[in-house]
Amino acid sequence: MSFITSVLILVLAMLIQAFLQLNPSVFAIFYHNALGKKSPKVADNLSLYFFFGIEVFCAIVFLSIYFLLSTIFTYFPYFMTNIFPWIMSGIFMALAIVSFFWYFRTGHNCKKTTKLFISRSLAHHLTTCAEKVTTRSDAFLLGAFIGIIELGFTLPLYIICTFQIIYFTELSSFLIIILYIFSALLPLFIIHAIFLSHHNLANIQRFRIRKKPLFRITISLSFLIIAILTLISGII
Amino acid sequence: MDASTEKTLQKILKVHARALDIPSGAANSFISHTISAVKKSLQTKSSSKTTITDQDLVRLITKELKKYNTDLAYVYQNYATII
Repeated sequence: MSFITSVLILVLAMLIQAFLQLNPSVFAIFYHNALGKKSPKVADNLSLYFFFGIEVFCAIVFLSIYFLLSTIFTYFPYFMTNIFPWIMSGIFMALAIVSFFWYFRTGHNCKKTTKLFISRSLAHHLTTCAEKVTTRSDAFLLGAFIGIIELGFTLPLYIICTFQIIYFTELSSFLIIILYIFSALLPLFIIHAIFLSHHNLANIQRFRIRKKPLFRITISLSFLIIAILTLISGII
Repeated sequence: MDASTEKTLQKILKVHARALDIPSGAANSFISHTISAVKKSLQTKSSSKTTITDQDLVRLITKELKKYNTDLAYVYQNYATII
């Protein structure tokens, strides 16, 4: 698998991770409520633990998949080099279609919203959890919980990224994992910065609704390109 | 609108207002004006025997809040559709 293809796949995976919307929406509600019920200092403190929750979850999943893929590669090298890229390519093609049509809810009363694919009861539960965060452990667990919900979209990304970095040196692999985790946190840092610059949830939400088509197209196009690159690298 | 609903609504609006950096005095003032106006509208509608749904209530409250602060009205109306 060429170095350029691997780098492209990693960059696109990070782009998708940065454009996924569940983390930013839950964080926006959580921070808004923390500001309303507590103080900016407490909100910032709780945000840190929210970020930790996401980071720890990402790191655990990444390292688990790294260990698993390394083991499978050792015992089933033919499968990993000849069949696995085709399977992953198919999965990413499916995700490209699913993310375009179903990542954001569709319907006549969903056009001016950023409602996501999750069920309304789960969305309500997440909103309630985000409102009720008062302790650091609550913030940490909420961050980790969101990672679990979006695994359908992010697990293939973790797998394909691990598949790329298996060929890299240990230091490069470690740095790429750090960079990937940072890409998941990047939209949250941006939202945090927006709140700190005296904007509010209303402005953030209006911005997200305006940019919704961009998010949808970027996510599905990136999935599609990853699918093509994986297929090409499987053929070559 | 019963007392518990009114109290809950006041609490929610105060939290939103504080998060939106609206001064507490001003927020309390227009929250109480909004609730009074909504109660009057509900009395008029109930006297004409119209069915009032939760969505109607949200619309009434949003309409009144918009007169005082558009961001607060926007957050109250769209809160459930953020995720």
